[in-house]
Amino acid sequence: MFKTQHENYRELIWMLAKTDFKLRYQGSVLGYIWALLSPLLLFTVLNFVFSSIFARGAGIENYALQLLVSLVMFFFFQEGTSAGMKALRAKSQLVTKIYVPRWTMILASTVNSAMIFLMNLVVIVLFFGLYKFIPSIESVLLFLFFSMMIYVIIVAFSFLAAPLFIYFRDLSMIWDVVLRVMFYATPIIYPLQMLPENLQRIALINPIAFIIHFTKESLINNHFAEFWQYTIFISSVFIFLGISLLVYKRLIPNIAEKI
Amino acid sequence: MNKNIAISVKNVSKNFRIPHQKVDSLRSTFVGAFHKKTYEEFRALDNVSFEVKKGEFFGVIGRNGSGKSTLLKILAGIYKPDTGTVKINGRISPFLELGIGFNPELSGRDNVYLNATVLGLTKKQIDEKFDEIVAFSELERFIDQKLKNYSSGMQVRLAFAVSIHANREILLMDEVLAVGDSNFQSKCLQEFRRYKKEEKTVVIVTHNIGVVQEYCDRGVMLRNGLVKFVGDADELSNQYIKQNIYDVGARSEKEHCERKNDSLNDPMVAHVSAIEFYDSENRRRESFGSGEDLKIKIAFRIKQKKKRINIGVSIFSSERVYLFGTNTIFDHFKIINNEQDEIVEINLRKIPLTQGVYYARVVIVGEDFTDILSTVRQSRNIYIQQRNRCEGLLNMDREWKISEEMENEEVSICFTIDKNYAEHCAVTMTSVLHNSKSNFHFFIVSNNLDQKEKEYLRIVQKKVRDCKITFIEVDIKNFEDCHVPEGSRFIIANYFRLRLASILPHLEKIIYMDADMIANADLKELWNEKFDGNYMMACRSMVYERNSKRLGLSKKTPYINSGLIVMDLKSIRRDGVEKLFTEYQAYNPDNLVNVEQDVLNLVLVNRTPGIKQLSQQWNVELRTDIEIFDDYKKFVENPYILHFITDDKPWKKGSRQRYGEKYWEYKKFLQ
Repeated sequence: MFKTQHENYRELIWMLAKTDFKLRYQGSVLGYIWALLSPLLLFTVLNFVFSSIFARGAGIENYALQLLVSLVMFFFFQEGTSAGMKALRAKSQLVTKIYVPRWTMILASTVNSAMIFLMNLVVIVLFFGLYKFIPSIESVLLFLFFSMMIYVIIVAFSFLAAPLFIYFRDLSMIWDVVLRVMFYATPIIYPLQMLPENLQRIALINPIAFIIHFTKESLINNHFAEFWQYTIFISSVFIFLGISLLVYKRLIPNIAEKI
Repeated sequence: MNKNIAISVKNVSKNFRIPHQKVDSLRSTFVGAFHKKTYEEFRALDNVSFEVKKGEFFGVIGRNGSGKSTLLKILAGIYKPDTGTVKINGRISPFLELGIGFNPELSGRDNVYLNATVLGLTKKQIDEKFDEIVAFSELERFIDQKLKNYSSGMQVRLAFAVSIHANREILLMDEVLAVGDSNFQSKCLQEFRRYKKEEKTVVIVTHNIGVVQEYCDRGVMLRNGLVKFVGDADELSNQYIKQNIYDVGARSEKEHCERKNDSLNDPMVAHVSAIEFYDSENRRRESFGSGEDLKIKIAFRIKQKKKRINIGVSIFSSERVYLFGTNTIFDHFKIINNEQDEIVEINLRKIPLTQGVYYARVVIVGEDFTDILSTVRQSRNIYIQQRNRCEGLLNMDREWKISEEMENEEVSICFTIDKNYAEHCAVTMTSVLHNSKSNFHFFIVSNNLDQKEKEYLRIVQKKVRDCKITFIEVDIKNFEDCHVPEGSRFIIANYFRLRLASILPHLEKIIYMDADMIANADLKELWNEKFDGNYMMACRSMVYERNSKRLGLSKKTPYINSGLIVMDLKSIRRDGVEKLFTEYQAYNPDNLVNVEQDVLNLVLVNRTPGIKQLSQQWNVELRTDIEIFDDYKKFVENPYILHFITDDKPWKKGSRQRYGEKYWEYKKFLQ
């Protein structure tokens, strides 16, 4: 009955995402650099501290590049899920004062996160050039595929968490803690091989750990996962997406009253 | 669905659950899992059904909490109804508020695009309309500045400009009129009119009865989620007013019961314990119709002996505008101090307040306004409901009618006097002014007035009231052909009145009066008499009837008294009537015993057009030397103009004239 209101959802999503992006960078190049500064700083510190242990101590090649790629991917996940969770609450006016399809707002938030990720890719390319390292085409393709999978995970998570966050105000605090734990449970600063054999398998259940580990392996060592591993990974991501959409559909009709 | 129906709401109900303990976090969900959850069911809408036709202005009216906003949100698709169906035929503009999605950190331009996109416009459409939107908002100079630098008025202007350009067939508005200054509101109203012209369907939610009366064709009244009335806007507003008066009455009764007497704890000398409002039938109320009588009863106690007690009452609007104030000393009302509980009441007649909320304040002071004896006590609210419509602060008692003439049209009155008559003429003028509210212009025609007499006549302007006086000098030589019998009391000046059309060439109409007359009624009425095509209007003489016979006229022919003549100078000039007078004088001079009066009668009485007879009351001839016959008595008893004929004038010693005291009454004004 209300489908006729917005015939152009793509424009609406794009407008909302663009607006958030603009607000984040204040619409200037300087703002963009400023926004990059905090992940870069973290990268510099981590690189400074851990390269002595892992690069020289454990003899890992191109530790800095591995760290950078992992960090950028994890940030994508972290920012995307956090923002996606808040997509509805942050724009409560659009929920309570007007009828805008809710999913457009959630998608807009994920698009915005993707845009930030794309900006950060520029930094990765720059560093690869700086280190004069050329990865194989297969590994680059795998990297792009994994990035898309992170995006799907973000979308799935946002559709689940955005309405839930309306019902449970402490969800964001809990998620912050979960993200912190995940940061250390994911082989970002350390290589997966450092863990005991059985722990490695458990760690790889975490899809983000799976993605980051095999991205690093393929980019630097040109080493890929097995076919069955991909199958399980992809199907579990899409099952998650399906569950999220079901929950979303269940919760969304009365969302305006709860906000 | 029928093609002519824009919105159809059928049996829509909506419940809200209000939990006793709010569960909005995971923590409290887990903690609360072991408790029984309790909540209250709140029925915001209960089986609501109505239809809105295409092109209709539809009002949704109700008090706060009646469910009207819930209804609008359901129409907009924001809420889902629990049961029932809503069908919308056409594209709906879903905004309930202005400037949704506005972000202060973005420029005006970005905000226009953002807001318009949210309202459902495509980028292409916005590009096309952008200049129009900015022009409408009158913010061309600021459009690239950040919104946070805008004043709130500018923001509203921009938001409204975007909203109205989001062309939709059905518009939903929630109290859009509540924001913005009066300038902006009038712009809103203009837009409303445009929508109406374009036959758009508009659903407006309001509690302002004025909006419903002004714009809506039909509407629905909600109360506690139930439909109380659906239909015609006029009937709807009547129902709403009735409902409000009833509600307020019920509430005030309840509050009154809870009131306590706290007079003894008050350290002040005087104490105001209650302020209550009553209507003309002495029923206590808080809601009054505009134009009703409002009685304020004030219960007070003065605890010490005081010489002077002054109780002040003032009325304020809800915006604290001081509207009216008075006190017992202004109104010369004495308060006797008995040192016990007293009640004083003030009756405000026909309160001219517009619809709204007001309150009264009462304070008791002593000798002067700095000697405050009691604390200022504020009343509860007075609710004024207005049935008629007007703008501004006051709803003045009023009446329209088609006026025959402009009220300020001058009444021209002419006297032709001899210098001896100046002082009596002044009395006549005084009586004329005293009996009327109209503006008068007196033309005093004479051949021998000195400065002294003129100054005396001007006293009228100072001592009675403002009027115009024009002195016109005539040369007696021009009247040499006029005949006055030897030894008669008449003089040449008597003939002046026959030539007023020439003497006053710029006038179209004049009332001629003798200076031995006293007005007893408003001459404006005489002035408004119609000529019916005649040259003049005058009264017949009741005491000189025999003159007709003397002049050789038939017995039935009336004899006109020339002391009061209303003249249509225009037609007199047109038909050369004055020439007829001179011709007649020359032809038969010896017959003219009563000089100009005889001329007038001989020339005009049997002529058509000629003289129209006025009611006898306009020229009541008073004489003492003969008895008044019965037919004439009724006029003497109710005169409009008194005419002291014969030589027995009231200013003469030993005068026995009836109504002689009237002359002296008016003379007093001039001393």
